[in-house]
Amino acid sequence: MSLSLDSHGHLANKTEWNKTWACDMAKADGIELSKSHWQLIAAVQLLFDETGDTPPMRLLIKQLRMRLDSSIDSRFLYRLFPDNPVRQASKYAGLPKPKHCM
Amino acid sequence: MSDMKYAIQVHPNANWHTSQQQARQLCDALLAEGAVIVAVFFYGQATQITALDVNHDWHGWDSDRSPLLVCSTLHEQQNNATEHHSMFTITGMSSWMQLSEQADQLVIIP
Amino acid sequence: MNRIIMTLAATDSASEWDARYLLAISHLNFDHELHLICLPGAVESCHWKDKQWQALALYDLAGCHHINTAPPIDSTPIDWKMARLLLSENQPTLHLCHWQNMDHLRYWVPLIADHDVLLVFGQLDCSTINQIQLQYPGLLFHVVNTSQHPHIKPNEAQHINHQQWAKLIRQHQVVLTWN
Repeated sequence: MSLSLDSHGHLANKTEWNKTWACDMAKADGIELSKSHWQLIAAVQLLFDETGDTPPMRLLIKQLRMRLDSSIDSRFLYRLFPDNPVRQASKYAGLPKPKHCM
Repeated sequence: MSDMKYAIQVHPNANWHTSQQQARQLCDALLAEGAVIVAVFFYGQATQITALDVNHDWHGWDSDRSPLLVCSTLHEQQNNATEHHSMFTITGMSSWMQLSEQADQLVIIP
Repeated sequence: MNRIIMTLAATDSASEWDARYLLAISHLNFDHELHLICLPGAVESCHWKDKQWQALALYDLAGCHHINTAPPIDSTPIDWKMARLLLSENQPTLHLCHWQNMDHLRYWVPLIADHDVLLVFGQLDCSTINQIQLQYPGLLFHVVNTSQHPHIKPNEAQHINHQQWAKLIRQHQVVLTWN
């Protein structure tokens, strides 16, 4: 089932998000979601619930280091989401395009 | 002669045309004093600068020496028209933050 | 340069609140030491959601201070004098004001300490300048001439040009911009 997207290509209604949709979106971008991807997606969803947005890269890394693994760095994130880790993680997490643009 | 380095942020709280005009004249005066301007950053309403015609107040500015940066997020939010000027760089916050860190003083023109 | 104090004011518009939030997050993203000062009425007129305040706290906001009403995060109550101290650390300060009206001036004037200088630019006429002089007789203020406002005569005592404005900036370690 295809879900409605907003003008930026992100899910229009985040309550409709599900893992199958996320896999399909990622696959369309050439990404096979792994355990690490899912951990990051879950962390981003939680941060969004707490703060109302996905944070910019450096703040995201700080939070991920505290919440997931102290060795996480930007190279790790770029390996998972090569185009733009913050933007892509938000997209597959069913969240809007982040408000900031660094 | 002053060798102070300034980062200028044009962040209007009233008529933005006046803000950017005043910023240009102040920047010229600072440069005449021997100061260095690391960058001029157009923020808030001032991101509309790119919609002005070619006879804007920054004509003749050496943007290679002191880049004119326009915040891309607010530029997009304000639905600004097509850019007329290659001298303005529409960019994310990083460029501004990195350049402003090189300055001795940040001056915000309201 | 990396210690940033952001003033939040009742005079900010809705779009201005969004812009200030984005700026605040950007400073935190670059590990700048960010402090907020909520001036009177700022929290009441604030367009930030509680979650946005929580985000600033989560992302290591260095400090938050308020005059009158507290924001929904840890914040220290202060008065105008303390706000001035935080902003300027007792250094002589150049205040920059884009002229709006007398109410806007009255709102910000308590931040001006002895030996500070106020610089005003924008659309204000001679009668307004007289009004400011009458209401604040000890206030050291200058008006920047603009070619758009020829009614501001060059012989006005307060009138200065951009070269003098640049000199004032050079002479003051602290330049405080009124929102």
